[in-house]
Amino acid sequence: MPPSDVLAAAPGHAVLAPYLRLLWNIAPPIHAPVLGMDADAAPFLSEQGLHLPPPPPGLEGADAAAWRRAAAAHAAAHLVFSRRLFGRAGVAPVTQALVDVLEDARVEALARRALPGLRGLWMRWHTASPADGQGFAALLARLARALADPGYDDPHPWVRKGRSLFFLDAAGEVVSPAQGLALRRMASALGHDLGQMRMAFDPRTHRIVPSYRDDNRWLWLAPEQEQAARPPGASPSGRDDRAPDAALVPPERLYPEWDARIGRLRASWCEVRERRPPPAVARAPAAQPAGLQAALVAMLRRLARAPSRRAGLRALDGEGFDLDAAIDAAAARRHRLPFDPRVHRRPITAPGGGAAFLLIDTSASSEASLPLALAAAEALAQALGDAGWCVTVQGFESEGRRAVTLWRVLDAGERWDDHARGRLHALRAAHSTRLGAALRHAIDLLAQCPASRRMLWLLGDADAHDIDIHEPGYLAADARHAVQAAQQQGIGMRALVCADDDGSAAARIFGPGGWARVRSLEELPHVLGGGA
Amino acid sequence: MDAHDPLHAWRIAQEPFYRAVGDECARFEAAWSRRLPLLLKGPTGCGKTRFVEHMAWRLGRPLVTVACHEDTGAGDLVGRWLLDADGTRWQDGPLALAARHGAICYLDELAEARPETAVAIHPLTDTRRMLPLERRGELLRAHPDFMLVVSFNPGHGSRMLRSATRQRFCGLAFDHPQAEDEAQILMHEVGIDVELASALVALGRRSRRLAGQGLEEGASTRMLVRAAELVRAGMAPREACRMALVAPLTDDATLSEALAAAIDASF
Repeated sequence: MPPSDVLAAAPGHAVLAPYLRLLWNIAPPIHAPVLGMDADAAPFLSEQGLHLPPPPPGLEGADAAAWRRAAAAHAAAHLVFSRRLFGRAGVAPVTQALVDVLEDARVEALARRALPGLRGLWMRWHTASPADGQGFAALLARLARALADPGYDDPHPWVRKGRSLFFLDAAGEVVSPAQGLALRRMASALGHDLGQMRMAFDPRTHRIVPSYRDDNRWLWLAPEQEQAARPPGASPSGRDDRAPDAALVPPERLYPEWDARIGRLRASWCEVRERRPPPAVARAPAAQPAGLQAALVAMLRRLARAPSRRAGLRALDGEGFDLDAAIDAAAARRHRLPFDPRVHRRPITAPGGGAAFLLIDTSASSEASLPLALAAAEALAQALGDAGWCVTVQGFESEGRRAVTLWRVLDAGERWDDHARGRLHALRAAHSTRLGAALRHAIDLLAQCPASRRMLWLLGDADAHDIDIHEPGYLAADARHAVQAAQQQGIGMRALVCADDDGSAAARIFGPGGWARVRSLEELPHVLGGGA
Repeated sequence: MDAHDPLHAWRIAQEPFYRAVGDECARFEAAWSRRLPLLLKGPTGCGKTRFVEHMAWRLGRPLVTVACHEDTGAGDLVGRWLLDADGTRWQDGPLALAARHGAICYLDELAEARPETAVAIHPLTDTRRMLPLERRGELLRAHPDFMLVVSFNPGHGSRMLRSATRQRFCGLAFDHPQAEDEAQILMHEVGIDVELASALVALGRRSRRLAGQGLEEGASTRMLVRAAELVRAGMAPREACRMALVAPLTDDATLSEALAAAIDASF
């Protein structure tokens, strides 16, 4: 299962990282379900972060999103407020189950003090009631609800006892400060009562309810168990030191990579090398739709001028008079005729000073869309040159962080000719897509071009993946970071998606308005104009 | 009186509320006593403009404020010729007006203006204290009560001021107020209770955690004041915060959703 599929299977996860950063200023890695995880598995915390299964069956849309937020906020409350003091040795399974309920309620109560709105987020999942009966699982769920919902008054004496032990006041506002050993004693007392009631408890079928709560293995975890809990393929740092030919190829450029899990840039993390594509025969221009070049050139000329609103001679106000306009206006005025009040002149910035970078995804996954991407690049490169832009064209692929290759099709300042066209069409789809590093390299080169307007167009599906990264969203977050940094430098960043996917990957990286789909060459001028 | 006072419109009648967080008022007064040009730097909406208004009121000086933008040129500050029925007529720009008649001139976000604008103010910022009005052929010597104050936001995505310009100024650095001060500001500005003020301030501080991680900046004090005002106008806090904070802060769907969820968790 390629990483992109894991990501697709876990929609709605992207929002959780900023959500937890906002709530508690923490950024635990959030893992999507991995193969082999039960369909009805509970969320769990491990040394690697929060593992979130899909929402329970039947939940969709806003409900599913609310469940994910509830689960993430609950697990985060553990990370903020729980201390891992619980050893399983010598603790009866019933007591363990009750410690779970009490500790869950405790961290939620503490979290609600700072964020009262969390009560509503969690309470909707507490649906236990006396109608559920008086079995062990039902009583546990009813106790969990009684501790989470002050408006819920359970008639069962045992539930009431649990509530009176847990809260210091009748209204359920003041939580007992008990934690660690004291909490375990409280659980032990409640467990004793259950024993008196001859309740049967089967630890094998026991599940923590409601479903948003994690299974608390993190609280109890013994060090030797941690290794086993590691999900397959989830390497904590995302590093891969196998890169086979790393020693053979001298590093050319090192770029940082944004690690969203630690919220930092990893310095000098990716090695980028530039290569000329294998020698190829010169190639004559391919047939293009009639009028395409003219439309593209017109659009690109307009684009190069776009940031300047000062173009145009006559203006209502400006640095000085437009002499002809002033004389016309004065004469008209003397004749008591209507006159054009735009008598000033604004300085005009020279049009056409644009620099563009066409970055083509040549990874294996883009094989199907590559012909269209190459045709679009060919049309664009020619039009950009004709419109007076300084153009660079490169393809890119990667095999791990130490082998990001950029294929130099056209360097800045070179003429777009048959040889360049030959190099372009020599690009072949292979390997992976380390988009962030490729973007940073392209931005670096683009920033060196003297121009008043800089644009980068990515041609491909913007679906970042690489052989040494198994964490969904990691590379997308890195690429997004690169895009935002470029935008802050004033570089226009846009993805032209030639693949037939839903564009969600491009939208995630380039922003909702930062991408457009290209189905045919005819659409290019229209697509370039739209918000570029 | 009004007809003879060209700065009448720029005088501040009532005390603008400003809650000092340190000795910035004394520092401003020290700079004012020597008429030293002053650079205020700090994030958007943290109270720089309000501070200058407050000080102008305190010193009894008119305050000429210019909000600079990318099209602001030297002519916009210095002045220009206009055309009227009798021919051409010179009109002082706000900077020339302040320098001629002795006001505090506040150039808000100077770095946003065109590069030549910063150069135009250079002669006013050294011992010469003069403003050449080249188009008019006049060398304007600044009034003894003239003072120049500029602001600058060194945050993400904003342009930088050139060192040659910065070095002509003394500086005061501003930051978002401490939580307690910020809550006091909300309570005083809008008249909300301490509970709502604390919740809004906590939310504002949370949003600042995403600065540089998707958001250019977190919610400013000004935005929190707006949210409080919407609550005072009868909106539910959650709705007010969505309107006052989420929509202006980001267009990104994911960040909007995260912010909205954090708001839901806060109230």
